[in-house]
Amino acid sequence: MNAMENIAHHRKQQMRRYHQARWDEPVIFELSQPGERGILVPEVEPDIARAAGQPLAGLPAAMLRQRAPALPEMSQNRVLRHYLRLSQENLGADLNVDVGQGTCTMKYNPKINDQLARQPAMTELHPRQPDSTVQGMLEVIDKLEGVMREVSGMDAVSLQPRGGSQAIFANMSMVRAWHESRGEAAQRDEVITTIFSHPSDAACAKLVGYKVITIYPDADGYPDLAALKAAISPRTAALVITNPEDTGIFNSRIREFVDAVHAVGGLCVYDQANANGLLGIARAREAGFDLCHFNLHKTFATPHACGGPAVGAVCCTAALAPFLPGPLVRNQNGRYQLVNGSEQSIGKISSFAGAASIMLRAYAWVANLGAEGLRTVSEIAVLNNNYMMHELLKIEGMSAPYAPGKRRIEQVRYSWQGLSAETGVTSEEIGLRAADFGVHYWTSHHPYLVPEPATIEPTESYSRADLDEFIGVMRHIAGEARSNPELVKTAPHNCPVHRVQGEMLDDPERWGITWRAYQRKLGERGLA
Amino acid sequence: MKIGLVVNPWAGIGGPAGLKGSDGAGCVQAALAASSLPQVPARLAAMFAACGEAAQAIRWYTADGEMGLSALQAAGLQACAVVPVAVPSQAADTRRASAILAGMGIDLLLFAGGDGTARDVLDGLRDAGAMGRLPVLGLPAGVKMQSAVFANHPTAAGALLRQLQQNGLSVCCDAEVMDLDEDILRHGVIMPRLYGYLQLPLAPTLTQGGKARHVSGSGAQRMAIARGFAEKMEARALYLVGPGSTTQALLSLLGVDGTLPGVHAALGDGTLLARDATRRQLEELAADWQAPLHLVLSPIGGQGMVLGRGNQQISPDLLRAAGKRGLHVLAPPAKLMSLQGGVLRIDSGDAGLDAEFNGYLPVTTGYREQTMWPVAV
Repeated sequence: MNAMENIAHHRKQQMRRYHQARWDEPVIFELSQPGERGILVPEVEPDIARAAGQPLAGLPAAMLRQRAPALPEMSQNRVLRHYLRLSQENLGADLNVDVGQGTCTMKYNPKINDQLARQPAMTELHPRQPDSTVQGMLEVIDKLEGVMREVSGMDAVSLQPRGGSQAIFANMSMVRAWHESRGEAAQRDEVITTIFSHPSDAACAKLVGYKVITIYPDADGYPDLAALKAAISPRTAALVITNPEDTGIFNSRIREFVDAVHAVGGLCVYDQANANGLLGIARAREAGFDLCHFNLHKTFATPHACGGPAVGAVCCTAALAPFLPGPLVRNQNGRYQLVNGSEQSIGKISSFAGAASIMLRAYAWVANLGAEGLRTVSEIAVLNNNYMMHELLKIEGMSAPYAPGKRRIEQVRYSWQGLSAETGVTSEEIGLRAADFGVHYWTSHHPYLVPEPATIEPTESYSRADLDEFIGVMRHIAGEARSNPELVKTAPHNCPVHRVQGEMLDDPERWGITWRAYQRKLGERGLA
Repeated sequence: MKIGLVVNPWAGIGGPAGLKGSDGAGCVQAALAASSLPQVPARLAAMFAACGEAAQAIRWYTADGEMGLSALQAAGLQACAVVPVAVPSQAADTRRASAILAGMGIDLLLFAGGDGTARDVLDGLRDAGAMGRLPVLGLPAGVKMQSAVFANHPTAAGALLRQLQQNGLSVCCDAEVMDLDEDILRHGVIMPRLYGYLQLPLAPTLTQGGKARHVSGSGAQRMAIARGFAEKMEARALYLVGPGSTTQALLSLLGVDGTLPGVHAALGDGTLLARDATRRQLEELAADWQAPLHLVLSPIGGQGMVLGRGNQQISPDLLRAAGKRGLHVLAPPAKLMSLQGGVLRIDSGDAGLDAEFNGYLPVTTGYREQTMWPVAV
């Protein structure tokens, strides 16, 4: 047994002993001391002040702040200490075997790509620089668009959206613009999606003004084709669907779905959130879609970064290209320039041309791998997933609903229904107990169609030893659920935050996502 | 195969009259005064028709007169033995007849009735020492059928009898019998309790299962459904709004003071035309009203019954008048998931009409959100 095998063997035998740091750390605003500074800026010398004059005097009065922004006032070392402490209370992507957050494709983001993005040449770019001074960055965008065209099979790409949901919103806006251009916008007010597609698909359709019809799975776990056929009509604006869905089951009849929607004049939008098992294997174009989008923070190995900045790559056929959001990069004989979208464009989805540092990381990742490498990524992601499924299904009380005996693509939505019926331990409690062993775990989007769900996606990044460690945690917790269910039901025991009361997250009067909202709601309750 | 048949001739009579049940002689009188007709003979006839020739091969044991023999004779069937009963019959007769039939060596006890009848049958089997041994099947003929011992439709009961006659009875399962106090229910309070279990032949697609509780979603979800639906209501159209907490949310949004278990008639602008109405009142309103008719219903959790359980005030004629376009089903996703892949069902009292709804129906699940859900008889 060599050293690596020895470590792997050891891991199988023994659970990792882990304890998260616990800091009684206040919110940063509560740490503020009036007058405390990180940098003391020297007084302006008289001749400089004279030369500068009154630079603010030229601004309209309405644009001038009446008072300084209410930022925390802190020294540098206290700021550093604050964030280091918070980071220690986290179970971040680089800290754990991060395969338990299925659908999110938590693959390793190579650090060399971070280094590239942190070069001064990148960090000191400004989005208002003249095109002639940012030719390199524009070339990267142009080439990354080319990669996206190749991976999707589509004709045109915009990298302007700042994330997956923005890309879906862009796609929905393009659907509406397309129907408007044909005088059918008033008639077509329904968008069809599936319950196992990403919830942002339904949410963005609604945000654009559509009514949403959700298709549930048939007995085999595929979207119910008969239900789709009952749902389509001259009111159908579009079908928005993932494939594979969050179950990891690939719908090989997807072309029939697309054809049925096209037959009534609707467009078909492919949410490629689950594309990590398909690179170089299956493309939106061949399945007949009009539009699709990729999340560069999932499939293309850029940071999730707690909600951004990110890039959602919108891809479409030539017929839809005039509606793409701008600005777009144009390559004119090797000279690159940013141009606004066409007259029919939906306009800007966010400011400027996209998140440059993210696009550079994604391009570097693809350039390192090449076309063959991308396909290998998907093959290993699928292999890892099916290895994990094979091993996890040996745990009594865990199942993979639908399509029995069939393999999955890149993730699996499992069910602990059997274990839960036997022991009373729920999937959410298993997830909290998993944190005690230093691994992250996720159940499913709501509503839980699969009872006691767990969604696991190992990606291509993890070794067999890593996967075995995660499997070992699951097996161990299932054993605990039988021998000592209270231990699992009262977890986590080794983490700083014991439990979050879920119902509070559903009540807008009880959460505050900004300091100001938090203060206001405390005040309303007489607690400020 | 030897089957005992016991019929509660008054089952379901309180439904069209909006009485939420038929328990007690006073209720039967009130229903008859409201010109309600007994529902049972037609449902027995539909069951025997679906059973077909297999019914001839079954050896029937039953109670006298309206408690079984009349139905057998109407279907052209012979009885091997007849238990004498009092006329008019009461709950005690169901209990006594069930106990005597159980002692005759039958393979299955078939009863026609609702939840109250199921409780009387259970008591009878307990008296005879046959609880947990003798399989039972309920023909749904009452007002509410929240218990799990019923076929999901008279035609399904017939199909199941045919299967049992041809293939014999192999596997049974425990099916819960629920007790719902009708006096409290009439005041809008739903307080069910588990009365006991009966053995039911295992046939998941033909039997309705028990009512799943606590699947009505949060108040916010119900209000989202109501807001979405209210947006598309036409001011002068007639809406018949059925029982349940989801439909109740719509009534509150419209400012209509309804009761939880009743059927109410209102216009799209919120004008209440009839509160807790009877079948006859609803039919008269619909006949007088020239605008389109809409039915707004919520299925029963776990069972998927849209019509024919606790809302018999809505007659087949009203369903026919509303049609597929006028039938609106409201249900939060949790309720659809409680069906565990099952279908929605319609049991209006007219099997032919019910079959016209087979296919998919749009179900409103949230604000501007729908799904397409299969419907099957």
